[in-house]
Amino acid sequence: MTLIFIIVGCVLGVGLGFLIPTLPYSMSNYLAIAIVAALDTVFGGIASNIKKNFDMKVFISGFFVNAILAILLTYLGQKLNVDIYLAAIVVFIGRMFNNLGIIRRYYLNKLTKKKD
Amino acid sequence: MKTFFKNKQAVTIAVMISIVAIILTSTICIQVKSVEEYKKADIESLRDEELKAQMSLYKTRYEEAQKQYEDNQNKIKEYKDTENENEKAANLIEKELEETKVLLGLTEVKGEGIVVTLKDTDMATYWAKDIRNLMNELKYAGAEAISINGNRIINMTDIVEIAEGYILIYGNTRIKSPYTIKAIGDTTYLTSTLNMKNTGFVDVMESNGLDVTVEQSKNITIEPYTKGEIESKYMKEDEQK
Repeated sequence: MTLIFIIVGCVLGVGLGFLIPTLPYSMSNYLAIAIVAALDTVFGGIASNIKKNFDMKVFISGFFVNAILAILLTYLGQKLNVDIYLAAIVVFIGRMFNNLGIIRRYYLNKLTKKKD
Repeated sequence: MKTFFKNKQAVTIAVMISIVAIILTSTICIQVKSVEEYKKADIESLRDEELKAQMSLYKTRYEEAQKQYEDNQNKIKEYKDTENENEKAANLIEKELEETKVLLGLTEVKGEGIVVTLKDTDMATYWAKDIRNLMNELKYAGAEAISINGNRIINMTDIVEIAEGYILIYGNTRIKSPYTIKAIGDTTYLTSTLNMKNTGFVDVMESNGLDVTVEQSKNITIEPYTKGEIESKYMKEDEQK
């Protein structure tokens, strides 16, 4: 059931995204970092689901707070003339690869077990 | 009750996750759309580094263009010089052509000269040979341009008679008395040649009983030759020279 909800949500999101007009370029930096943060949280959620310690509150709070924090950090970096968003991206992408590794290993295990 | 609670929890989780999915995908879509748009957009949307790169690129291009511009300018100068030379040559040729035309009798000419009026009388009429005689005398006296009754005499002009009282020139133009002959040249020379005692044209004609008047004028206009093109069928330029 959750899968159906996710798919419906994705379809709705694509439709909504195409309906909403484009943002000014100065905003796209912030939005990009927010997207990376959100993606990190999503992969983290999937990984924790695999590890059976998924917590909805952690997931939701991580999703929004991470994105907002990333935006704030980028803003601060721009004010201080330091590319803080690079650090954020490094951390987020690193974690994303970590979580992807966990997911990959889980499904590999599943596949090999099935064969046995 | 417990299952309902469990179900409710599951539904809230699903709804939450779908909301997250909506937000994530929509933001990604917006971002992709914006980036796509800015790729084609103008300078305003470029980053500082890109702007700098573009600026340096344009600077080099500008320098190149400047160089080319200078080269072209020099070339234009050269072309202009040659053009000027050509123009000079063309002017010279045009001048020569104009002079040739004047000499040929294809242009209207003005100058000092004399007007000779010949009239048939009851006693005698003018013949073509008289006119030819007069032409000859005028040419001998240095006439540069001659016309009879408005017909320019050029080097190809023939004067023959077809009947008494009619004289044909250019093979098809009839003229008859009175004949007004205009000639441009040195007035004193022309008049003195015509007025020579006994052998001059005036004396000879008057002794034949014909009417001759010679007038001097400071300003005579002689019409151009207008009777078609001057053709040459048989003579050709000797190219060996």
